Amino acid sequence: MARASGALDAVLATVARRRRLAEALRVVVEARGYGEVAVPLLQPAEGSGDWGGAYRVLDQDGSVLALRQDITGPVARLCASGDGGGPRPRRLHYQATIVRRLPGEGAREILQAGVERIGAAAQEPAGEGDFEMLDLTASCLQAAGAQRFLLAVGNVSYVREMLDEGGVPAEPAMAALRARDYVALSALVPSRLLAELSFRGPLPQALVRCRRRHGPAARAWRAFLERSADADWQRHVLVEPGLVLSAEYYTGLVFEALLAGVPWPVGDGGRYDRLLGHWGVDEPAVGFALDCDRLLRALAGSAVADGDRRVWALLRDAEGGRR
Amino acid sequence: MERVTLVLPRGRPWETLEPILRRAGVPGVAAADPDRQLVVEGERVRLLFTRPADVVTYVREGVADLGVTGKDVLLEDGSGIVELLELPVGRWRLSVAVPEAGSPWPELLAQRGESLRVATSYPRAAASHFAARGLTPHVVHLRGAVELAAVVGLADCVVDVVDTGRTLAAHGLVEVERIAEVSLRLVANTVSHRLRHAELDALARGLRRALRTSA
Repeated sequence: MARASGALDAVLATVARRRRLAEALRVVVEARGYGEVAVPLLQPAEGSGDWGGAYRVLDQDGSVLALRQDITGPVARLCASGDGGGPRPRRLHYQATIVRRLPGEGAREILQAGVERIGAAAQEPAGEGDFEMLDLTASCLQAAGAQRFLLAVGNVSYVREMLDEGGVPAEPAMAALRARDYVALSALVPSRLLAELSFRGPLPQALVRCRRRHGPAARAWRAFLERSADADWQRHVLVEPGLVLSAEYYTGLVFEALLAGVPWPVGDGGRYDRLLGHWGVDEPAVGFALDCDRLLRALAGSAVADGDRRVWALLRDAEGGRR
Repeated sequence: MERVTLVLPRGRPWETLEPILRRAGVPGVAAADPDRQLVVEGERVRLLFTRPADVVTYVREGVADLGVTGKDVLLEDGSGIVELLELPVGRWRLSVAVPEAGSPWPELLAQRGESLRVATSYPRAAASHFAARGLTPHVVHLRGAVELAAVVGLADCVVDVVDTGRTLAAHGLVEVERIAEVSLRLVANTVSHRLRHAELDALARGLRRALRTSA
């Protein structure tokens, strides 16, 4: 029987590698107070543009359902519903398979490990949740065995403020940034702003550039970068003011996890303060997700990915012997 | 510093591109012969040569950090990479063309409506162009010489890259709609664009300078 396009079989060593990585990540996030959550495989397709799914099916009543392509949306819906009570911030984590269409690949099953931090404590300092996300992402990557990684960070409200101050219509420019099309962007923004949006560099350099701007989003972004400059993971940060992710629900911090030798980001995340508003709840939120299979591919040979090599060599031999 | 891998298109785009890369001082270009050698190993830059339509795949999959290909290719399948720079040397256009002897285009479009047949090597770009006006025509995907499809009646119209228009005219076709301007673009892998930003920006700056001096 043929396998569906983008679907994955996993046997012996691959399953064990996934389980080992999942366990390493679970230990890190649960130590930070994140509790596990599970959401349905099928989601209502209506009104869920960002997480509408690569595949759609009809239920027996004729309603259109979508195979989930994102866990953030369903968790946000859960937290906005009656099941979402409890102290704030609500810290939730998950390990779940999604199906998403990827550039050049078509639909692909992706095992995600992620966290969502919904709401904020009453006296919480500004940027606390954002800082926690980068701190936790760095800890997860380190626990997975990654050493040469970067967190490319940007901020959507800072970009919108820069566009507004430059008198640039926001949506075409945001669309160009989302598509990473700097040729289209160059036709929309003045050259000085283009240079600011094209910058990629370490935190100290980015702070110097950011000090030239004085709007509220720039001040908040600068304060966040200054705090991050003291973190022990600051050397892993690459500031990229023009970073805008494809999901349109992000409102503030956005970031991608990059590993040397891997041609795609292994994870991403950010702040989505208006998403719960879809269900009538006004709460800030921030989260991230790692693509476990890309991470494992990147970390082949590390202790977490491969475990004890003698044991896995035996398993591989056993697997080969059965073929 | 690790060397940068640059994937370049063979054929007509290479002829347009070669003098610019040479002026930009890209190592290995002067000695490159894409018809005979697909890989040129240099100390600072490694050059790969492939079909223009495959450049995006090499860049997206991270085999190459940078590539040059046409906007026509990117319109068809350019997601998941970074478009860094337009190389405005040789500009073409992606256009709709119909047989000159047939009905005028507005009438043909009105007559055929949803049953319009479009032959093209750019099925996504063509479908997207007609979808913008609410039409979902039958798109016939051909790998080249699409003019033939309109000449022998396989399709009502073609969507193809047009340069001077002489090829269309030679087959009795006339350009009726321009979908997009097409030029060569420098593109980058999304991760290399961040992890190797210094090397990639230096190469892009060299190209900008070469373009200015050739203007």
